[in-house]
Amino acid sequence: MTEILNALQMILVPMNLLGLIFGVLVGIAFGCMPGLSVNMGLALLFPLAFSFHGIGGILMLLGIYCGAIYGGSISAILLKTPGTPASVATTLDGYPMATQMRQPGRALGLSTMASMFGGVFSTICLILLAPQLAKVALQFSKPEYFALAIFGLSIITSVSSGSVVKGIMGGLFGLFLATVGIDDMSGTVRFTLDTTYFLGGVSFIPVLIGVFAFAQVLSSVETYYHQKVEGQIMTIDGSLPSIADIKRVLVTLIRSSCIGTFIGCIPGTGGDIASFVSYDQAKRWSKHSSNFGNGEPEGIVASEAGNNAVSGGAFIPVLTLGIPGDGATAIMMGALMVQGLQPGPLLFVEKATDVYAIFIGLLLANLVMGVMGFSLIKLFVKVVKIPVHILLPIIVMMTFVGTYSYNNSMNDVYLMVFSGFVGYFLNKLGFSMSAVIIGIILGSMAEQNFVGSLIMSDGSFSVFFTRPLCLFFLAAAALSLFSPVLGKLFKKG
Amino acid sequence: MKSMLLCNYIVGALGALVGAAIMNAASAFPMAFTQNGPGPGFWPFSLGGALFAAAIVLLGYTVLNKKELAEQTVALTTDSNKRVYLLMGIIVVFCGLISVLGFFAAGLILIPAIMLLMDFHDKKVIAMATIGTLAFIYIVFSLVLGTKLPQSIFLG
Repeated sequence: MTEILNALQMILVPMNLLGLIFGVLVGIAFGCMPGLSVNMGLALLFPLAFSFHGIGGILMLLGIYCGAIYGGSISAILLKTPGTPASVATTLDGYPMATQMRQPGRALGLSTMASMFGGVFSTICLILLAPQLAKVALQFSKPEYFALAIFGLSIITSVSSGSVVKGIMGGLFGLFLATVGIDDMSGTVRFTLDTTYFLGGVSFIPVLIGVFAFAQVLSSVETYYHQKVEGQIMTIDGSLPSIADIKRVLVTLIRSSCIGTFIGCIPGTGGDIASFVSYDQAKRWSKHSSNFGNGEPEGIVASEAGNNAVSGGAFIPVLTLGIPGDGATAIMMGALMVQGLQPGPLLFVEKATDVYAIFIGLLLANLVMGVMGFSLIKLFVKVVKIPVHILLPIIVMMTFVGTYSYNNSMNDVYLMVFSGFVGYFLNKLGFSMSAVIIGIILGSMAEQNFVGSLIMSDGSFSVFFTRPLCLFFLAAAALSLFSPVLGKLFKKG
Repeated sequence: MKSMLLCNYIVGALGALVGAAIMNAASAFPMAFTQNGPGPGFWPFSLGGALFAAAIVLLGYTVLNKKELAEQTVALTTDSNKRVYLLMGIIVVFCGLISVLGFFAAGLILIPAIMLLMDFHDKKVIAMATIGTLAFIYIVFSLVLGTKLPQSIFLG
């Protein structure tokens, strides 16, 4: 109880609250503009987060994370162009309701309500489940942590990448980058190219901004060159959902929130998978299944509740086990680590107040997102219409100034540009940048626990195969990596 | 347009090369097991080996799925790609200009250059976006956060 009160005290500092509100506002803007993404918003404002003292920066990033998932639905409904992949399913019924039925306000209201409900629901699940899982994880030793890092990386590479082998290659390269600098165990200087710049390791923030923000700008230049996003001019009257609509969608709302939270817990999945699974289930169980695709309220609610419910679910493995589920949670985990908060079960023991501050912050971010969605929707409709030609140069400048301001170093800027160029080509070739980033983040954890396990066992590798939980995680990792091959074999059989 | 088949061959070969290079570089460090665990070269050497193996698997997969991969294309030489390459060139020049002219003066050139590159020619909007962005950066980063952005060598 004392921790909760202390956490509330931390959050209710005006500057921290302002950071959260600013984050939600920026997040919705990033989410609703086609060509920008959740990861880009988080990466760009990552350096700014350190200008806040204490938890303020984390709250701002939480706001961006929640806001951007919701923001994607605005352009999905108004332009049939989802701002984020998580809102693709929202276009199926949102756009017909806004255009054919001429009810854009109703569609936006339903999506706002569903997003807020999904987000709040999953945060409550996070608050209830995470401490219990952390208690279990406290029993883990070095071999289990090593196996967990391998499991996290394997499931992400197999699910998030177009090609499993390329995913593995990306993850391995990320793990290698994490070895650059002074080795924590032996103090040996490794792979620094004889420069002092790499002594502290490959700087995470320039790489992050490069692959998630700068590479995305390059991709957007390619996508939007000679292409104009045009939508119909729509007048938004009211956006509060009616009682009749709420009654109609209530069951779908709860079901989709459960699905989204569960999918969010699984590393490597994300809002796009959650929204499609929720949509599919809503259609299967609905009394109005024939109306799906023609502006069905349940369709909008299913997709939006599903994708926003991922936010709380995704934090369960991050906070309790230190395993980020996707690029966005990897960035969030990086932010926590830079602030001195090492995700994992010990976080719940050593920094319980900060954990509760994150819980309450996530809850508040979802509520603020809902309030802003209902009250500022006309503003966001205008934001959707800002041409990409104006946005992109601004974002390029922000990538430079954001990277530079972190360490006042031009070397960081050169690293960011280089990472962006490489990221652009690797994206085109089917590599998952999330796998590389998660490899960098998990690299130190994997190596330290690998070495620690071998010290425990006097150099015997049997330590990884004789402990049940460790064996379970390693078997699960192997299964997730080989599942595409096994799937093909079963189909042939 | 290039086929994914060709791209996979190149990526596989590069991956194998990088893996071998990592193994070679890691072998310069001790790898033997002592009371402090395996030497600092062991883990990166293993990663290099795994990367090399994964690259060989990719090459094998590519050989076995030649037909399917030959039909998949990767856009690398379209007009849109050429714009991206041009932008990359502009960015490299911008990196140089920052050191010579300073961040703000270089920004005065970069923002209009990108907008023109994207076939946007409204001079009023270009001017407003450029001045607005630089003013925002100056107020937030230089004044509020106190970041000292790179200055022109002529002012130093």
